[in-house]
Amino acid sequence: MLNILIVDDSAVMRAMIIKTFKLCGIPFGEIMEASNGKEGIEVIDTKWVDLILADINMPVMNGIEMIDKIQKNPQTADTPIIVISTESSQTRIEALKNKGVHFVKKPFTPEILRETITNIIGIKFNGKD
Amino acid sequence: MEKIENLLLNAATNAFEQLCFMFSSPDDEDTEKNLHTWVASIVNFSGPFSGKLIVRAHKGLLNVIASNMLGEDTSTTKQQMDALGEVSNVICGSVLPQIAGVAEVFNLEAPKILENSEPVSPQNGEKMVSVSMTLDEGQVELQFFMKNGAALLKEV
Repeated sequence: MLNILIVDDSAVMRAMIIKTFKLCGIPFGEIMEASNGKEGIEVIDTKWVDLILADINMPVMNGIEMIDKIQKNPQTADTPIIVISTESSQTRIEALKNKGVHFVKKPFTPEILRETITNIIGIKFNGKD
Repeated sequence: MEKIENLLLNAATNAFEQLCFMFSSPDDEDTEKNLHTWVASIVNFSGPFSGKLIVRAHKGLLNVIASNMLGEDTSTTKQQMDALGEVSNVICGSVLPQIAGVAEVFNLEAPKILENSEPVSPQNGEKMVSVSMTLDEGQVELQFFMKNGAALLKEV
């Protein structure tokens, strides 16, 4: 079961991501929330997180800075990250992919999120777990 | 300019459909729109050109937007403002690369909410495109402002 951290400054978007994630049929444990990159770092430093779903444009600490900090920390460097953002610049998206980060564009469907997560963790879910 | 209008309308249609499950209606323009209180979300952006997108919705529409996004029957005022901001952010993020090209990089600021808003006129050489869309639940108005983008306007 996956412990998920969702980092987005919009509480409505976090709720929507959680709702969509639940529709994916992927078994999950704890779902944790943070409203910016700094809060996200605090969560990942104190709790076990299997997968991070993060926005980019956030106050206090943006998603790029958070990703850099997570990847510089040997204890968290291998944590898979999916950026869920309105970003459409291929230049920025390629830069994210070069960091080993996956990308899902807002707005997204449960199918796209499910496919991305499945590809990352390499397990096929049947949607009934 | 007409192409930007179409891009804006398509981006808004997709955002409302996919985020809020709200669909365009062929109905005529809202004849009571002057009676509504309007709330606006403003997204400022900078990049190859700068400007802002303003998405205005009448207050009665906000609960539908937020409730549909949340999958709940009701929503708080805070959630409604948050939801309108997120929709405007998605529309802006979608339309900019279609105007400037996907290689260009834009920085979008966090949406700002303005209650009791009126339509805004372009200032200081800004170019403005405005469109309105009728959803089943009511009308939404969008204003897109560009600075330093005259060359792009000729191309699109």
